[in-house]
Amino acid sequence: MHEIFARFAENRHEAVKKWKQETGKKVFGYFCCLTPEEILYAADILPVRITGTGEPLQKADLHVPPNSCAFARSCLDAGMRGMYDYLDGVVVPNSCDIIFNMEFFWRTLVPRPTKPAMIAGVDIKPYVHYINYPEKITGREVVPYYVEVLKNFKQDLERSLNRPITDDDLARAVSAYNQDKSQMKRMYEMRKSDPAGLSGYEAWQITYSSLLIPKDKHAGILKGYLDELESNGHKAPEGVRIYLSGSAMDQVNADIYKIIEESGGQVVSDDLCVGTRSFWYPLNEELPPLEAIARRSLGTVCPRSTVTARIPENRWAHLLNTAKDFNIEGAIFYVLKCCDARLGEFPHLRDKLKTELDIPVLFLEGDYTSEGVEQMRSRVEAFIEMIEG
Amino acid sequence: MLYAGIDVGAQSVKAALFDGQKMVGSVCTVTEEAADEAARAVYADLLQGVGIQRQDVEKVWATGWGAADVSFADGKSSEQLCAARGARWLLPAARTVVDIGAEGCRVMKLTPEGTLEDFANNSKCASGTGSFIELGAVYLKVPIEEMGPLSLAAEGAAEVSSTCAVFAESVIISKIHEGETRARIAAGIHRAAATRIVELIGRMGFIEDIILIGGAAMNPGLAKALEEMTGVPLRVPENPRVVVALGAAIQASLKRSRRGKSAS
Repeated sequence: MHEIFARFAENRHEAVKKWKQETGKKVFGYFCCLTPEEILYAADILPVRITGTGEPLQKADLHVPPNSCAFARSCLDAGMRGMYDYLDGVVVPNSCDIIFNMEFFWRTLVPRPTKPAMIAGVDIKPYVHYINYPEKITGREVVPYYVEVLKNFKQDLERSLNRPITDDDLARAVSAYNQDKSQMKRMYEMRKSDPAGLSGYEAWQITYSSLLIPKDKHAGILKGYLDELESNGHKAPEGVRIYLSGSAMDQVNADIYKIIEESGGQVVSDDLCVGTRSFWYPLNEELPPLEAIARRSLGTVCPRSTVTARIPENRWAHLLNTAKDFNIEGAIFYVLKCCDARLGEFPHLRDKLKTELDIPVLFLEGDYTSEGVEQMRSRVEAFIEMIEG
Repeated sequence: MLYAGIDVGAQSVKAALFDGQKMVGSVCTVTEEAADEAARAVYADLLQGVGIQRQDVEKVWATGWGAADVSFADGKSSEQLCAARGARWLLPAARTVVDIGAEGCRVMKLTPEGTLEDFANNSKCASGTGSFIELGAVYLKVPIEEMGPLSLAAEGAAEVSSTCAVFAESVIISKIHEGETRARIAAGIHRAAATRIVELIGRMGFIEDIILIGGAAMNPGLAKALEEMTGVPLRVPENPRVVVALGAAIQASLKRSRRGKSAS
């Protein structure tokens, strides 16, 4: 594995702090892959995705009930414990019912590095930005509304940072994001072969680090790395070809990739936000940049939108598309407890995979701890053995 | 040719010997030793009971929670696969296998040809497992072997929560204080455990014949509760505890080795 990808994937906080120290630039944290992070990039900010910690909660339990998403609680706990003290700002979109609450929780419970700039009762330099992502992501009124939301977000940022964000800045961001998306797509293409061009865990490290490294830099390193892999004919160990779907898959629970490999499987494609969903659809460079960003963000096929979308088939098609061409032999769903969005659509997806692609499905209930992942080993082993016959 | 299967469970270790045609011996021992030592002891008992030497056995196959720790095994397979093999061998018409152990409950769905098609496990929760009923027996101060017969004698059943083994404790204690009979409470405990298991069977589609195996299958109270709730007769083999070990021995006889992984 390339040293940089491994370093960011294994010790994200240290790696990002080091980057910040070296470049002297600003770092913003954000929740969810539907965040219009391109706007942050355009303002010369490094957007990093907020994830939780594998450790037991210390502080968040006092504020968020235990029967809510373990991932969200863990993220908040990490914030309250000061693990994200290097962030210069935080962006919370209205994604699922627990994440959108993070705007309030983070604003009120997490210590901020700067003082609020209050004018007439309004903080004109907020630490936590809220993006009012539409509840329903389809319909005629949605795009103009959301472009307006992003315009306001851009203005808030400009005021906070005391710098303009021009259309050129945005166009530059769109192009950098597309470059990285095309390299990521290439990396996934390499996994279509049997055995795959690189292992599921390697691919995860690359994908996860793409959420922590500036996109232009990530694209450059990835291109060189993939060239190298191609020229030396690198192959992942052979294994039953697995499709992985599920909730947040970060450094806390990514061991599931290793467990699948150790059980004789190999993850070759996925439906994950730290996975295909973070790069699959490119931005349209023909459009005004803000609209391109808005459409990319709205087109993010998060299960959060399945049940509210007028056309859930959009998301289901994404799942089938990212499964179909990879010669999948089995699908594993790792769904966190209390993830309503995921659990609500699971029966539909399971039936689709079984009837349309004729592949068996294993459901694992996650609790966002690393021990919880280890406990799944015997089921994963049994599932892969079942496929082998 | 002889094949041995060793099933290292959460509470007991089971071993079975298969000669390609029939089961020639089996042992089941409750143990608190580490997996490897316990497996060695049980295996030695098995060989001694049948009166053969170690070298007479062609292959040893491990399964169960502690399978990876059985150092002298030639290979290992999942308990789901072994349960399917063992149950199918005992009952060729089996399409659904319900395996209720001390700390786990699994339901396996088989194809008409007998291969494993799908399975469902209990999640991190003791309700619907043998230890749930054992806990109930402790609160009722009834030996575990008598829980089943006691519940069969009850008229109706007391209501016991199926959601959590810990909550069930307080329910059971308050039922005792309310003056409920032990028999009705025992019946309620079995119904509570069965509720969880029926949920898993339902996920696999209630396809007959359904065969009930594992230690808890020896409890007639649980079998009755399951039959009442599913409305389907359940088949219980003679020695339900060793079915998975038998399946492991059969698996050894099929000489399958796992892809991408050396048998160790």
